[in-house]
Parts: sequence; C-alpha cells; structure tokens
Amino acid sequence: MACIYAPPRVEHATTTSSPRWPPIVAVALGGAVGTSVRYAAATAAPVAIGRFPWTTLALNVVGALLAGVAVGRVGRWAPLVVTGFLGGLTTMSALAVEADVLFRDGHHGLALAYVAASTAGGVAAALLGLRAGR
Amino acid sequence: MTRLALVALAGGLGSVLRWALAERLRHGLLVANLVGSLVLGVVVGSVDPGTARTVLAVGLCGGFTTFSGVALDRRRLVVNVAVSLAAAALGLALAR
Repeated sequence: MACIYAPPRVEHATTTSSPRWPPIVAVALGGAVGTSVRYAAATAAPVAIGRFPWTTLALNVVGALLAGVAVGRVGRWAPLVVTGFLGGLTTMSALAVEADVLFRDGHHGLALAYVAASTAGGVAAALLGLRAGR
Repeated sequence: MTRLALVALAGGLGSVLRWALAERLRHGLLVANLVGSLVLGVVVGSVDPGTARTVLAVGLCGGFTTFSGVALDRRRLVVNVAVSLAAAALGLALAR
C-alpha cells in the first residue's frame, strides 16, 4: 500500500529546466539502445514461423509496463527513456505483420490470441505501471 | 557485430523520425505505426532474409513504430493495433 503522506514530488519543477543535450540526440541514443535490446531478444529467443510470437509480446508488455512507471516520473529524461528507449524497445509493426502472417498461413486462432494478448496485456501492464509509479 | 551496429543505427533513425512526426502531428504516432507497418509488410513480403532485411525490419520499422507510446490509453491502443494490422496486410499484399 502506498504511503498517503508521501512528500510532494518535485519533478514538475525540474521538467522545464533545459536538458543537457538536444532532444533529438536523446531520442536517437535511446532508440538505438532500445532497438538493440529488442534485436538481442529476438536473436536469443527466435520464434519459428507458425508459432506464437512470445518474444514480441513480452517486449511490448514489458515496454508498456515501464512506460506506465516512467510517465510523469522521468521529467527531462523522457526523450531518452520514454520516446527513445521504450519506443525502440517496443514495436507495432512486428506485432501487425506477425499477426497478419499467422492469419494468412491459416493459424487463425493463434493470430487472434496474439492480438488479444498484446492489446489486453499492454493495457493491463500500462495500468499496473502507472499504479506502481505513482 | 556489424549487423547489430546497423540495426542500432537504423533504430535510432526510426526513433528520431517517429519523434519528429509526433512533435508535428496530433496523430503522429498513429501515422508512424501505419506507415511503419505498411513498409514492414512490403519488406517481409519482398526482401529475402539477410542483413538488409534485418536492418530494415528490426531496425528501421521496429524503431519507427511503437507499442509503449500508445499503450497508456486503451482506446488509442486498440485503434493503433487495428490500423497497423490493416496497413501490414496491405503491405504484404502489395509485395506479392
């Protein structure tokens, strides 16, 4: 249970302070790192054609959870952490193509389950993260 | 190692493009997810497995599109997933 007498947060006061680097550099750096982690995960846990895409699902759900935790907390680090790293760690294009290919190849149930798990899991994870980050 | 560096570079570039769209357009992330899914559909349907495909698919399209950026709002996530599924299907169809 969260302490209801927590001291007021000060992020709002620091949000407007100028970042040390331009946002474009932070986004590029965070995106490169997030994408590298996703690539490493896809290499370490490859999913065969016709199988449930667990790797992308896990990355997207974890990314949604961390986005919930991070939003409103990271202040001026948002371009690096939220837009860059988490944006690069998660992917919508892979989700869409994996689901479409599963469906096209006749794995209708797997495709539907994948889309449902991604959507419901993403929403639940983001809510959990928001609650944990409060 | 070279492949990882190229994927990272493409991911950084894709992320910057996504950020630029989001800064300029009200529905910038939706546009990024739509375009990225369409392009990935074309890439998966037309480029043979190898470094070029990995860099384009995992790096550029993966970095350009986002799930975490739209997951905090349930309705927004559902709209983004639906639009991306349709765009990817179109891309796969175009690649044939």
